[in-house]
Amino acid sequence: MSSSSKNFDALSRELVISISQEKNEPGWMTDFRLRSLAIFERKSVPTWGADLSALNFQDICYYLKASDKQAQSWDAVPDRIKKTFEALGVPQAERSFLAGVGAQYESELVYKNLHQEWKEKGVIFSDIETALHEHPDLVKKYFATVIPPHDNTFAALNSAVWSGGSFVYVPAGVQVELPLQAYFRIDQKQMGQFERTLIIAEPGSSVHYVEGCSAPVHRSSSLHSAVVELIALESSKIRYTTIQNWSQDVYNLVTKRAVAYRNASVEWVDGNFGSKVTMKYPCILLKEPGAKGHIISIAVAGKDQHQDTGAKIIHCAPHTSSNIISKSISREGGRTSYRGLLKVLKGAIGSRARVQCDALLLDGQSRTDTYPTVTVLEERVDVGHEASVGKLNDEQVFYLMSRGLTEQQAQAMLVNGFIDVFVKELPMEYAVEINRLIAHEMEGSIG
Amino acid sequence: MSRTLLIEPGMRTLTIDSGELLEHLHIQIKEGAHVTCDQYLHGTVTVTVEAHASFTLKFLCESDTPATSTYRFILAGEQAHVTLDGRLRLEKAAAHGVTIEQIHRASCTFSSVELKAVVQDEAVLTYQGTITIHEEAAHSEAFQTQKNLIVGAAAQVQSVPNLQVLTHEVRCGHGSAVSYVNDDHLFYLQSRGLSAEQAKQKIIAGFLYTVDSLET
Repeated sequence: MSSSSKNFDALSRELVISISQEKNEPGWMTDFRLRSLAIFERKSVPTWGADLSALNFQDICYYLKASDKQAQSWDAVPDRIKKTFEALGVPQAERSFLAGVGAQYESELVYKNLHQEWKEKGVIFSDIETALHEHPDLVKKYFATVIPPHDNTFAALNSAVWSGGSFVYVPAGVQVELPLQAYFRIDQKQMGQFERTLIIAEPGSSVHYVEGCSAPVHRSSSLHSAVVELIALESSKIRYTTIQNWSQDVYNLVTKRAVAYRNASVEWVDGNFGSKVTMKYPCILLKEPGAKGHIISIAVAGKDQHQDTGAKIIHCAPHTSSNIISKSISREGGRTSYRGLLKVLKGAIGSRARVQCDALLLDGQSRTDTYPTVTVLEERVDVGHEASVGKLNDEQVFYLMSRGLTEQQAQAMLVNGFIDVFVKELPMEYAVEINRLIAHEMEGSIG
Repeated sequence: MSRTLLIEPGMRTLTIDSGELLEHLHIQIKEGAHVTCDQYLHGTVTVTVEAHASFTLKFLCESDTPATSTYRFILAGEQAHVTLDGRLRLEKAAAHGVTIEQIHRASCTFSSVELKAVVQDEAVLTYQGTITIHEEAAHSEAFQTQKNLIVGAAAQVQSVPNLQVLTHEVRCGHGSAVSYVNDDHLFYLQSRGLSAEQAKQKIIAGFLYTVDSLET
């Protein structure tokens, strides 16, 4: 972190006010931040999930001014990450950006063309600070309506010090064909550690938003705590794809929630590869009849990693349906946990829900847990949960080796097959990278 | 009060006097013993199964009063084997809390838990099941299934089937399901001449009693 940001180091009212002033925010946002800070100070760090005892709130740099570029050099980037870039075939320009040493990644041209197209349709896709100035009414109407600051400790912290993130607004009836990628936008503002993303799909519209990338993202900060809110109005469709590969000293504690209104459909596609600890449970509230929710996630935990991920779906209205598929892979002593909630409220008759969790354990030191909670308060519903834990099938490995593959290649192929249901939901260029990433991660790990 | 029962090889069935239904009951199945029990016990029951021994619990319980039961199965020796096959029919104000733990502490152990419940009227079932496979329990297999049929708009079910697996040479699975009496099934049975109530009872019986349990 840069020395010029040192007056921002400690978390205080002054810090929050100065962030707000720096961004030239309206008064209601400053009040909101201060209220959130007070809520955060009353809350404690959760103890029910992953071990967060090493997290020190005093050690965190809460805000980097746009002028404070990260002053790292390429030499300081860990070898492990450089090797992964190599294996994935990431272009050189992107590499330095992802590693946090380059300020810009040149995607300006592509971005401009698309920008014109979106503008004609009335689609707003910008960073949330810009949106707050250009579309204050829209932001004010929806901001923090899905995840209020008192939701949890990290949502409160984010609400107090948030910075960066995307704002997407799709007008009624508009179908956004190409996925909106945070990637296109990132060169304008640094990827923040307390991002705040808000997506609104008006009736009958559809949009696919993609954030993150499969290449490791190296940052000096140790806490990433985003808040993502999706609002799917009547008969709209939102798909939100995340691929997270933070470097392995990051605590990734993210709150993601969507509200689906009548006949709307929300899909979370969530891949977790990096970080030291991830606690992330994308949630969908099926608020009106006919709403649909779909969550597909995979988590891969290696040495010293704990991926505590899951999914939450709450059926509030009749004839809603949901489907959760969760896959996890633990290796080299890593730990994955699925922690989920499926709740059918009184009155949600005719609801259907399916949960499927599959875990793969690649060695004897690794660990996997499944903590699903299913609560049904209504009679006429159909709910099912299934989970399985296993290892790579020796016979399948043997068969592939008999066809000329090395043991490592055979294992990587089987692992890729295991997560295929996730990969095939991704845009093609991401799918290719994920397959390469798995092959690379499997190198040197013994099945 | 707690008490320990030692089960030696040669003893086939275990019957516990209602006078012995204590707050905490320990049952120790000695090496090589194979024993079956068909009582649904309330309170906390810890069953430790030694090497090459087995414990089978089968019960059918109809209840309209609240109760809590905790079963802790410790598979302590190699090739220990535990099976639980339980059927609950909860009516009226029966609020049952059932906790079942399958703790595998030795290699080549096997445990299977199947609990089916019909939850009627205002009854509530809260189920918490946990399979834990420790590092030393390689080559173990553990399964749990928890299925519920909800009959009545005021009935509630909460099901939490947990898995904690600390080693990889294992096969583990769990499933839970919540469903209701299907209208099509009711209609079909009524078209064959049954009254609505008879049809409902047939469907409930079909859910609770599998071919296996009808044999006896």
